[in-house]
Amino acid sequence: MESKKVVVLALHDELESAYPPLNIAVGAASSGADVILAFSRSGVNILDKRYIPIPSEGIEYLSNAIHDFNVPTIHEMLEIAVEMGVQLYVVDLDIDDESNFIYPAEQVPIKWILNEAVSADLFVHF
Amino acid sequence: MANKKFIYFVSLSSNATYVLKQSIEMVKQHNEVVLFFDLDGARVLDQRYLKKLDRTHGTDLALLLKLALESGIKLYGCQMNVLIADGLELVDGAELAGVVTFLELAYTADAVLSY
Repeated sequence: MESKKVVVLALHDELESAYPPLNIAVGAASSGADVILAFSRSGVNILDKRYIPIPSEGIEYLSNAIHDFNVPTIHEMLEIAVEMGVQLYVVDLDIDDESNFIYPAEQVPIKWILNEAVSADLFVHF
Repeated sequence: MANKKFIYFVSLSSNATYVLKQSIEMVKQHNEVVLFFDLDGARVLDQRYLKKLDRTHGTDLALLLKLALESGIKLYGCQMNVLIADGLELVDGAELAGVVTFLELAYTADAVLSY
């Protein structure tokens, strides 16, 4: 059976916005899909080695709840994603030095992502 | 027959009222709607949260959930949601589901929207 193609775009870096794209990417990859995980706008901060996920105002409880529930951290989720073959991209950025990224990510224009999305079985952005 | 199939992914409880109202309207227009609630969004599926809501801006969230279910909208809470460890009391009619269920539905959807 032909494998599914999934394109996930992470646009935000708040805690509650960072987990969903990673959950979907890892879930899709684990079911055999070819997954493109792209980061744009503030979502690219998730890739930064110094990234600390902070929930949006009013839902600060979420940090402790996630910690207590023993959920993998965002960067642990990224590690799982990379190990499962998820391809990482950053969109429309002018980055000369990627040394702060926890994993290498190819820079591509948003047009490239949208073209990939057209042929994908699922395109979702968070 | 449904015109379109829409999947909403709700990670913020503050967006739930809008999403529920929008979903009910879309079903009236003969579309199929499935709502996934994760992280803070899943709080709206917790009966304890609904009971202690004090600021609802004139919206009865429990009633909206009931209307949504009665109109055929499927409500799913993430089965790995952090609220489960805290004793989540799921509202009647809602179900828990994992990412596999989300993907199966999303692959056949006309649009997947996140809130």
